[in-house]
Amino acid sequence: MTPTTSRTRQQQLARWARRAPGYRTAVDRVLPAVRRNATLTDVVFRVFLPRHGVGTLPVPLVPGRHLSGRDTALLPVVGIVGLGLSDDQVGSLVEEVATLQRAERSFRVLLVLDRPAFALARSHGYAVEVLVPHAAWAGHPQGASPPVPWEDYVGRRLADVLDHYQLWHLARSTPEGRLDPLDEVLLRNVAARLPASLQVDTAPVTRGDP
Amino acid sequence: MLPRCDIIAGMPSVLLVSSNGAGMGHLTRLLAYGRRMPADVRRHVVSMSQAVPVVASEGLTWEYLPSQGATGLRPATWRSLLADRMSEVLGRVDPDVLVFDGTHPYSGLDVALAAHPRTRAVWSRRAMWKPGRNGAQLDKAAWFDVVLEPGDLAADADRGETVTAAATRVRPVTMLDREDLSDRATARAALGLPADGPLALVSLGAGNINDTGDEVGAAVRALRSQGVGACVTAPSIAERAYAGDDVHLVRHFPLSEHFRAFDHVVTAAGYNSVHEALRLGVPALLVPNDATSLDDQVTRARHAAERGWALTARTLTGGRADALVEELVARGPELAARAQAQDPGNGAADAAQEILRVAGLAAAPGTGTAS
Repeated sequence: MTPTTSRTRQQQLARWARRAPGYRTAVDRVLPAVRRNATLTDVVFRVFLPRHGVGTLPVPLVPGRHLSGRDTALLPVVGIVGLGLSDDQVGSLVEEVATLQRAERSFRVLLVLDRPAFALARSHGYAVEVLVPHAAWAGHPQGASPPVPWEDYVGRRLADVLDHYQLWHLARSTPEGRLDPLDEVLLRNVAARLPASLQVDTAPVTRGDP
Repeated sequence: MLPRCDIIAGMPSVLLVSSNGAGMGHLTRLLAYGRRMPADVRRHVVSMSQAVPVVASEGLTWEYLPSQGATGLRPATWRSLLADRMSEVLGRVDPDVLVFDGTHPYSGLDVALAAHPRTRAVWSRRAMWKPGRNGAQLDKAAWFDVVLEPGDLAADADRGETVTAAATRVRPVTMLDREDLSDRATARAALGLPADGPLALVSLGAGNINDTGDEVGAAVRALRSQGVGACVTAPSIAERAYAGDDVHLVRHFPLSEHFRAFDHVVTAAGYNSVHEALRLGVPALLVPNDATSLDDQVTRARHAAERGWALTARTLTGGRADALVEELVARGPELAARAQAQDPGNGAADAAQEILRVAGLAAAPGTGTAS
């Protein structure tokens, strides 16, 4: 089955499910009630002993060019925030992260920048979110009254990114474009927490690599 | 000095939203509308295209919204992200009208629009869909106040789902008109090209949809055998650009501004490529990309050939290129002149006027409404 055919069938199945009698009741009432029921939840955990913790649940995100293997989708996703940096600093930050990623094989990367470093992100295969830079904020149209301060915009956007990408951690750069030392040491300690059975390899260097 | 937000707040504003697509078509069309709006209308772009920074050259502000494909998120998760992101932008910018250019309005956009009822909404969707495809998307016209359809010079051959759909139809849209073009010497200098000698623009493949290296190579070899230098586009969104001996890489937005640098064009048959070549008078050999999901490039190219506006071929490989390029050099100017003689004019200003009308910022333009 080709990916296109598979996706078409998934869409058909989803449409069928959404049209099924009782769908809305199940989604709006039954599922939330089950999730909120502490007794039911406890029983499920006692019976099925679901594994929890980092590296046990797949989180969809493009894998990037540096890692390969069966279980890359189980690696935690780490946001790398680099705001207010120059192009060179962004380049060195991303290179530092990529080197760490290849060495540790323990996390995937989402870049959160305020520069359109799309070619750089593509060369590593990283997804990238781009925020409006502080210096450009005053020139952006705002109809909201009172206007939204840049800091509030950044806060809301980071919360949005954390939530939708299911980030395990949000690491920050220093003003000089280095990975914050605390974040670096944290990322060096992820691998020890991953299930030993994970199959993740360092991908061979390809033409797209910088 | 940048204007302050409290000054900008009172100005009318238009939010231009484009899907990612494969090339620059959606963005270019939105810019065609945007540059024909009054200067006191703030135009802000939200795009899923990684080429979006080019809009700054038009004086527009922009934001990037990664597509589902660029993130790898589950479709449902991405739609939720889209809804949140667009809701935030609508709340912050509070535009008078949102214009979405794309053939597939994403679920989530409807949620954001419903949460911000003050903003009017326009769906700019071109026609020439492959027959039988994407029909279910037309129901999403209900999300918008108006569906705006930029005309297609091949409309007579269109057999796609949009033919019978209700829309406000305008003449074909290109970003520039002939009077906007630089002269030949200026164009060649701006692109870093030799001042003398015949040159052809080779623009094959829609961005990064598939690998057209072989087609490019065949075109370049055939042009060289005719004594024509080849110029290859290096779009900022391409995964890789073709670079070979005696090939000039050209990078400029909008490239059509410097079309007088070229004596010929060998191009895919996307909406913008075809309409720019035909409307701006560059002799064209159209090589349709049939790998697009929806755009019926084959029919568009065939119609242009049948009307005597351009040459077309399904492929340049397999030894076909030499004869085609020879014919392009010999007959191209005559075909281009015929296309220009039948040019109905640019619909971009009418489209801009219609958008402003929907926003309550202008009177109704002289556009035709079909149903």
